[in-house]
Amino acid sequence: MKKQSRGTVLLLSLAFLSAAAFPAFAKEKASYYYSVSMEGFSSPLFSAAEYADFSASIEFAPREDLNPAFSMHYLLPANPLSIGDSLAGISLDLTLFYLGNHPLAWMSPRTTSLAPQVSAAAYVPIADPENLRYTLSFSAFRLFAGYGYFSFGALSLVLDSSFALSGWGLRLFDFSYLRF
Amino acid sequence: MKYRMRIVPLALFLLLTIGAASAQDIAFSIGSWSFLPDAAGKLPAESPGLFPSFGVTYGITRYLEAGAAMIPRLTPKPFDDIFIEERVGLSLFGERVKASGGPAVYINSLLEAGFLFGAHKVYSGAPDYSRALFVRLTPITLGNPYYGRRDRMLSVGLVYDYDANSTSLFLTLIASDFYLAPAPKVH
Repeated sequence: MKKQSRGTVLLLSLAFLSAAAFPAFAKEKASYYYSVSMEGFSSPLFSAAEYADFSASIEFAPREDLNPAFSMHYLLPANPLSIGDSLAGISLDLTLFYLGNHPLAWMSPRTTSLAPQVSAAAYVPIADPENLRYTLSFSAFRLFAGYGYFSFGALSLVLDSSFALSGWGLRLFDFSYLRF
Repeated sequence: MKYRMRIVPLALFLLLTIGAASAQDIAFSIGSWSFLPDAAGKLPAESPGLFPSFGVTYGITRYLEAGAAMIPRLTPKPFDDIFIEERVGLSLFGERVKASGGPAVYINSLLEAGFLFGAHKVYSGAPDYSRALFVRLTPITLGNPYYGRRDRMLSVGLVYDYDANSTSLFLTLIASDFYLAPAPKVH
């Protein structure tokens, strides 16, 4: 099996294992949300454009510590616009905890919880699906506000198809809205 | 000439202090700038990337505000381009703040004009500079100083670089102003 295919199989397996295991321990049923974010990369695997990321996610243990989620992404180079260079991706996300009394409470008139998240994602260019790349992200400044999540300044490491470090990325902001 | 030299700075000073910028009317602002190419395909920073803005916004009158911000390039080469902007803004559809201190209109629009100074290729080549004027229309703002936060969405602006004699568009998809005075919490 090719290295990149092995990586994808591994990621998908982790995703489905989480999906199978965690609902059994979750106090609340799974919830769904969509997200819009803006990010950029300093990596030869991504162009210098501003990227818009549109994603749909399912989280399995809402508002509980170690809340896993599975997401599907569409990453579009938005400025300059280049639809032909857009990428599709999947990710496994883990919200580490929800902290009620937190130092970023001043950012919103609503009562919020600090909900940092780590993510592992795999992307392929739609025009070249064999060419995998991965990102590992940490979103420290992420708030949960009842209607969804808001985060800014999430940092990521970019890995190539052999899992070698190939640059970094920055997600300027991310807005997520719970559907149900 | 002497009178003009005394009056102009005095007028500017009065303009900036009228309205008594209290803690409720000073905000820390963050947002994004997306530069689009001019008619010749040239970008203000010569190459694309991520440009967030970090600055201050403060009220001058019930309708007028001023602000300044730093707009550094963060990707792909952090701080290789840095812009500084200064602006004044006018709330179009209602007061930003009420003289009584009560809640002003929650949904508004904002028209701004200002100056944009850029330093380019700060460490990647021979440094270069640009000077430009800009106008920006924000069709939707949500919030105001009373609520402690204001979000500015889908702004479109026009930049005129008068050294290069080029005009281009820019977008600020979203920006948020966080006012220093604590706002009543909404649960």
